[in-house]
Amino acid sequence: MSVREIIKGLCYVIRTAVRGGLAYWSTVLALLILVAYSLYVWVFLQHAPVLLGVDYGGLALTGMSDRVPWGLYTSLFIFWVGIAASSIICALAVYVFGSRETAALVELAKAQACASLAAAILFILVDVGRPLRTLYLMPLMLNPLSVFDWDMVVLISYLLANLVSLLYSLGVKLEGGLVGERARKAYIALAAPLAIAVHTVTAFIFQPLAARPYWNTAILAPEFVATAFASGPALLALSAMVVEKATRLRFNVNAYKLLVRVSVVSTIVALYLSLSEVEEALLYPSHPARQRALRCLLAGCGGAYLAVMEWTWIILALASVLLHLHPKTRASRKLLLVNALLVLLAIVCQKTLPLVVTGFLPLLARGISYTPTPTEAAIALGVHALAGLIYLLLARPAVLVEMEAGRR
Amino acid sequence: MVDVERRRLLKMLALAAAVAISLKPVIDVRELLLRKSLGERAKELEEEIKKWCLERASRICKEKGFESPECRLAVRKCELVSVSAEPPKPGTQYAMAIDLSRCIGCRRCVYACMLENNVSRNLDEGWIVVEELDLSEVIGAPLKGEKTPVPISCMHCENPPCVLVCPVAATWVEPDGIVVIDYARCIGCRYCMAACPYNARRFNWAKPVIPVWQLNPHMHVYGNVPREAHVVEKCTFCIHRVRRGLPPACVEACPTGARIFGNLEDPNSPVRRVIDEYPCFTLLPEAGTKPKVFYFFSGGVKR
Repeated sequence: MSVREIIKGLCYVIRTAVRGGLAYWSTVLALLILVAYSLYVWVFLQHAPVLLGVDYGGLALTGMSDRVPWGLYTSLFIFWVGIAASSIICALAVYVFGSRETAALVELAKAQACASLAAAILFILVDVGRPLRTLYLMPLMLNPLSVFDWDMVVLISYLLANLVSLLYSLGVKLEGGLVGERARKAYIALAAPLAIAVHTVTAFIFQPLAARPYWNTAILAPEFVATAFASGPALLALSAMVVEKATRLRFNVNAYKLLVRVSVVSTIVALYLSLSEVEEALLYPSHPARQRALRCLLAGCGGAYLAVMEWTWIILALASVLLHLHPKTRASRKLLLVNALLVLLAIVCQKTLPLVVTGFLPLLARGISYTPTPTEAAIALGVHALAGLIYLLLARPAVLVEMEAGRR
Repeated sequence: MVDVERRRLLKMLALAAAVAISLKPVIDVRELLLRKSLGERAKELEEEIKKWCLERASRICKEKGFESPECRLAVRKCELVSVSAEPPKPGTQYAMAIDLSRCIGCRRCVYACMLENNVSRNLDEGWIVVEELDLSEVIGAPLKGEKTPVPISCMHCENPPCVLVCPVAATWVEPDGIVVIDYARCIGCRYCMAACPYNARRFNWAKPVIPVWQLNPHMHVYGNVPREAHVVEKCTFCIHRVRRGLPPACVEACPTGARIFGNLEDPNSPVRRVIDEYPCFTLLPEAGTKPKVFYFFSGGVKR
C-alpha cells in the first residue's frame, strides 16, 4: 500500500466535498443545522455543569437514573457498532468468494462502516459524564482488565482500517487502476478479525456482568455478531437503492440478492439464539433473576414500549424469513428491498432499548422505568446527522469514482 | 508595514493562547496523576473547598441576614473545613454486620449518612437504600409474603466487579478493605454502576446541591469532600471517621443498635464476635463478589 494513493484519495474526498449541486448543499446544510442544534443541547444543557461550570442542566435531563444508568445512547452505540459489519461482508463476498456483481458496492460499504463506527464512538462521547477526561485518560489504558478500553481500541482500529483502505481504493481507481491483490489481502487479513472483534468485544462489555443476569450469558457475543451481520448488509442494500435513485449508477440485482440473503441467514441465526435463550431460562425453573428478566422483556416491565419492540423483533424477523423463502422475492429488486427493510427494523427493535434497559432489572429491588427524554432524542438526532454527514462525505466520492469507472 | 507585522504577531499570540487554554486540562491531569502526592492534593482541595464555602456562605448571609443562624453556622463550618488524606492502618479489614431482627426500617441511617457524607440534597437516592425484601428471597426460607427492611449500601467486596470494569482505574480496594473512588479521575461512564449487583453506586446526574450551613467540614479526600457533577460516588464506610478510630455515622445513628462495625482481623472487635457467634449471610453470594457487609438474625426471623 502506498501512501501516495491514500493522500490522493483524501484530496479527492476533500475536492468532492466542496463541489456539488443544489441538492447536495441543501442536504449538507440541513444536516449541519441538526448537528449545530444538538451540539447546543449537549454543551449548554446536558453537559453544562461540566463544560461551562454552571449550576443548571446535567445528565439529569436525560431519562437515565441510578437504577438505569445506561439508556438510549448506549442502545444506539450497540446498534451502530453492528451496522459496521457491512464492509467486511462485501469485501469477503468480492475478494474471497469472487462475487463480481458486488464489487461496485465495496467502497460504499466501507464508507458506511466508517460513518457507523463514528456514530458509535460519538454515542459514547456524548454519554460519558466527563468527556474531556475520557479523551485523555482512556488512551492511557489505566486498567487493562476493563473491556471498555479494549472496545475503544478495536473500534478505532476497525474505523482506521476501513477509512485508509477506502482512501487507498479511491486513489487507485482515480488513476484508472484496479486495487491490487496485495492490498485486498492486507485489508481482508486486517479487517476480517477486527470486524468479528468489534461485535464480540462490544458484547464482552455486557456479557461478564454477574450483576445483570439478562446479559450474563455466553450467547450474547454470538448474538451480537449475528444481528450485526443481519443489520449491516440490510442497511447497505437500502442505501444502495438511495444511491440508484440519486445518481445514474446502477447495481446488479444479484448484489442485492447476496446482501439480503446474508441478512436473512443471519436473522435466522439470531432467532435461533433467541429461542435457545428462552428455552434455557423459561422452560423449567432456573436462575430466578434470569427468568424474571426474560419474562419482563416479553411482558414489558420498565415501559410497555420495550415489550412492543421485543415482540416486533420476533414478528418482523419471522416475516422477513418467510418473505425470503418465496422465490418471487429473490427475483424482484423491490421485494428484496422490502425484505431488507423488514430485517433492519427487526434488528432496531432487538438490539437497542430492550436489550439495554431490561438488563438493569435490579436483583434486590422491584421495578425499573426508563423513557428517553427530548434532550436525549435531540442529541441522538444530532449524532445521526453528523454520522450522515460523514457518510455523505465518504460515499459521494466512492459513487463518483464508480460511475467514472463504469464509463470507461 | 509595521501595522501588518503587529497584526500578525497579535494573531499568533491569540493562537498560542487558544492552544494553551485547550491543553490546560491535559496538563492538569498529568500533574494530578503523575506528580502530586495525596497529601498535596488534599491540601489544595481544602483551599478550594474553603473558598467555595465562603462564597456560598456570603451569599446566604446576604440573603438571610448576618445574624441569622444559617449565616453563623455557614461561616463557622467554612472555618472548620479540613480535608485529610489519612492513610489506611496496617492490620485492618473493616466490615459491618447488620442485625435484621433489630432493623425497624426507620431510615435514620440514611439521613445520618446524607448529613455526614455531604450527599447532594437535589438528586434522588442517598448512599444507603432500605429495601423491603421478601424474606423467602433473602434467606430462602419458605416465609411467603413476609417482608423485612434490609439496608443496602456498598458492600466493600473482596472481589468488587466495579473495580475490575473501571476503564480508567478510578476506583480500587484500599489495604484496609474500603472500596474508594478518586473523584478527580472518574470519567462518568457508569460502567461500575452496571457492574454492581447491589446498585450501591450513585451518579451525580447534575451539580450536587448542599446548603453550606449543613456541610460536614471534616472530610477525607476519597470520602465526603463535596463532589462535582457527573462523577460516581458511594458509601466509604465513613473513611474520614473510621481511619480516626470512630465508627461510621450510620452505626452511631441506628436507634436499635442493628449495625455492628469493626476490624475483622481483631478477634475482640464487635463485628468479629458477631460473625463468630451468629450464622451470618451475605446478599447475592452467587454474584461471587464476597461482600464485607454481613447480615444476621439475632432473635429469630419473625417477631
